[in-house]
Amino acid sequence: MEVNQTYFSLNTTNSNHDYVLSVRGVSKFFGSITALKEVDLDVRKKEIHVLLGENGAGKTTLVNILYGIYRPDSGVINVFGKDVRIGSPRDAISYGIVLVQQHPMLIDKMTVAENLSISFRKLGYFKSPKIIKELIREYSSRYGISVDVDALVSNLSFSEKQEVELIRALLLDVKLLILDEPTTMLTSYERRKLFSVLRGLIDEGRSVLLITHKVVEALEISDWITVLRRGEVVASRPKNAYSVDELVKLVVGESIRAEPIVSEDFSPGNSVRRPEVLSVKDLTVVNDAGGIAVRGVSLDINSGEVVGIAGVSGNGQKELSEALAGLRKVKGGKILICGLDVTNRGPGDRVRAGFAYIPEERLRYGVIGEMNVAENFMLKNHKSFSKYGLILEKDVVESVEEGIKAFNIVTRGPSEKVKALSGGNIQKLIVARELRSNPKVILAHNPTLGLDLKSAVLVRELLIKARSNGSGILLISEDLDEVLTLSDRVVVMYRGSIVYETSRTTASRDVLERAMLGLVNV
Amino acid sequence: MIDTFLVGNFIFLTLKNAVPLVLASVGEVIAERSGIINLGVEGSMVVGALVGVAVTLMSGNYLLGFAVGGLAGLLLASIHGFITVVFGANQIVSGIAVTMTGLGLTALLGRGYVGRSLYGLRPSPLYPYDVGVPDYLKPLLAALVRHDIIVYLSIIIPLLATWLLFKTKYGNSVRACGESPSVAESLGINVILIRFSAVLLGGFLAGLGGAYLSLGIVGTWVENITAGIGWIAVGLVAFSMWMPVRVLMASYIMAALISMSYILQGKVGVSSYFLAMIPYIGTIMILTIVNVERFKLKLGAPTALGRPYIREERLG
Repeated sequence: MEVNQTYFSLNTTNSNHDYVLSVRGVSKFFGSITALKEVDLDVRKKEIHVLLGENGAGKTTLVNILYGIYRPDSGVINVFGKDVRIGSPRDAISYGIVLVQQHPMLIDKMTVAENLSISFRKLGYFKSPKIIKELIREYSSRYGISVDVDALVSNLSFSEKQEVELIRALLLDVKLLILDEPTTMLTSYERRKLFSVLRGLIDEGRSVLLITHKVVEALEISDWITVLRRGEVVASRPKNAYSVDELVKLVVGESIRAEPIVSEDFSPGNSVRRPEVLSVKDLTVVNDAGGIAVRGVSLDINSGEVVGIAGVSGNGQKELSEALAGLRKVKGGKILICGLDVTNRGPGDRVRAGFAYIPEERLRYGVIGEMNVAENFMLKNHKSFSKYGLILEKDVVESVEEGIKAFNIVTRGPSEKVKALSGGNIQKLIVARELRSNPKVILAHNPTLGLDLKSAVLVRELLIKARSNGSGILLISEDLDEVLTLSDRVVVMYRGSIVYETSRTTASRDVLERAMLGLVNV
Repeated sequence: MIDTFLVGNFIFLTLKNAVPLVLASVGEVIAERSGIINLGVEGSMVVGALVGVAVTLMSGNYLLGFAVGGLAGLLLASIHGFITVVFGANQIVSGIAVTMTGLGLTALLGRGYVGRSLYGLRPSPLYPYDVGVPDYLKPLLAALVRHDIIVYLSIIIPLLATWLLFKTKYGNSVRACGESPSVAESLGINVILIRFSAVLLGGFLAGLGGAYLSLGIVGTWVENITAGIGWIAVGLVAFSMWMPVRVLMASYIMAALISMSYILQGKVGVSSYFLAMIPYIGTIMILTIVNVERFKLKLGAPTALGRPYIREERLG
């Protein structure tokens, strides 16, 4: 693809040492894949700098290099006017760079104070972490963050974990705070709170590098935006030098429909009563630790209907979806697919009954990374691709190539190993495979999590198409907007139970958000 | 009237026999808390036992022998550390190889020491018990107070290990490495260093345990002196759910069984073959736990136990 180099050179009086961070010509390759190509990036003092781009654009790779998790294959990194070699997170921290990753980097089984003690360098190795409790309290009150220092991290919500990481950064006296997609799992209230904390940091003379794929968010919070596309910087200017349309184009590379599908209304009342394809009765499931994760959930999904389950991650969605997919034992209750009781049968019986599964952990349950695209594509359909137990190589390749085209999967061909694909393309491959057999029921768990805009729109459109073809879809998603866009009915899961249910037409974002936090009684 | 002499003897033996188990198990707890399972404990113990005897005979100082025995155990564990922590190889295979090496090496180098008595150089009791207590209670009192210093040290060490693991930054770092080395790394921990140090510490304690076996219990060197004690120690770690203080209790239970078998020898028909089997049952148990995720979670094992940490892998 042609890349427009639209650098914006700005005549500033700032001399070079006002740059907190200055990156020149950084490239990174993973095998034959170019993750970053000659990237330049400058972050100024007291600036919120947004690194904007789709998933797979190389944003995370770049921050991992800045934090010493990856090493660049070429290029120079300059921190406060000095060329540095960042070989490990320890090095990065010593230069005042702290990364808050997309998934909280905390030890679940330890308390907040214990977690923070580890990275607090001023604390001697044989000192008690108790000393820093006071310090944590002081920082949290100064920045308007409230954390319980003695709480076990596993009991914290996502945003609380993020706050612990912010305090960690402050304890380390961060000069440049890097946040990788910090708002993905936050409610809008939590997001506003985060942004106000970030503003506070800027006022103190610190700098922030924020990674996001959301254009609106970039415009909301940033001072300066650098756009990354396919591993290359395509624009870097002050926020005001962009228009929204232009920014979207820069991110995506070509214009696409910004607003995805709006599904036509479906009301079971005035049409013929459609058959129930999935029926869950009083389902109880335990988690790995033996605690009850799903308690007494009942749900019915009709043919041609999308039911969305909204909720903050960790409220039993994972266990529910695994139980429905036959990957986790059911403790009580029943699961019926098209009237067939599959409660404690394996995934194979469910597939034969017409069940398709788009799992959350796509690399773990969706594909086999070491196998190639064609092999993964036929995983569930071996029968139609073989004769006398032998694989019909030609049929497979033909059908896979068809799928690659139809679903716009970016790959070097059917024989490329799946683990070399980007997340979005892996997801498209899974959806292509799952929809191939015209399933009666589709369970989609966070189907667009971590996908770029284009792939996300495509995946959503495919789900809507499957719905029109009569599939009943259970959508479990942490993205409330996604649930609201796609679902005919919305239910909210909180602490393993369904606490709120509404149809899409009557759904209010506000009420749903409060229900997700357990603030609404049914 | 109970036979106080017999009971006293039993308690005395139990406290003594528990020492190698306590030391080696606590060491293994520290190593496993960092995420490294070290099946080389038996090897470190047997090396510690031989070196302990050799140094004591040479120097005439049993405490020196004891300490150098610990260092010998540490040295052997460093092989395991290099293989598994630095190079990220399979921990089970490496541990077994290290034990084999220890057993073979000591059998070869220990030939000149077989049967050489340590009389006069062995740890001597700290406290005379001829105080004003009724005669029939004397054996019971003796069982508690007439030990050498190492026995009391072995009671303090689990407490020290608890403090180290749960009340210091070093301990938090060790546990972080055992839970998730990638998170630990991003918290700014040098995972390799922490894991390596934990393995060394474990080897040192195993070496001490082995040295006490030859110096304090057997009183001489014999080939394969550990006879599976190291494997029992590894088994006790899971039994104690990776808690040093529970190791102390578990070790006493195990030591009581061993002592009982001495006392009851000839009186009750417990086959010596059955006793010899115990360590290996324990080993099978721990290998099962390490390899079945569900058991691991239930027992509270370190999440990343047995998993090598190799940096710069492209994640999904």
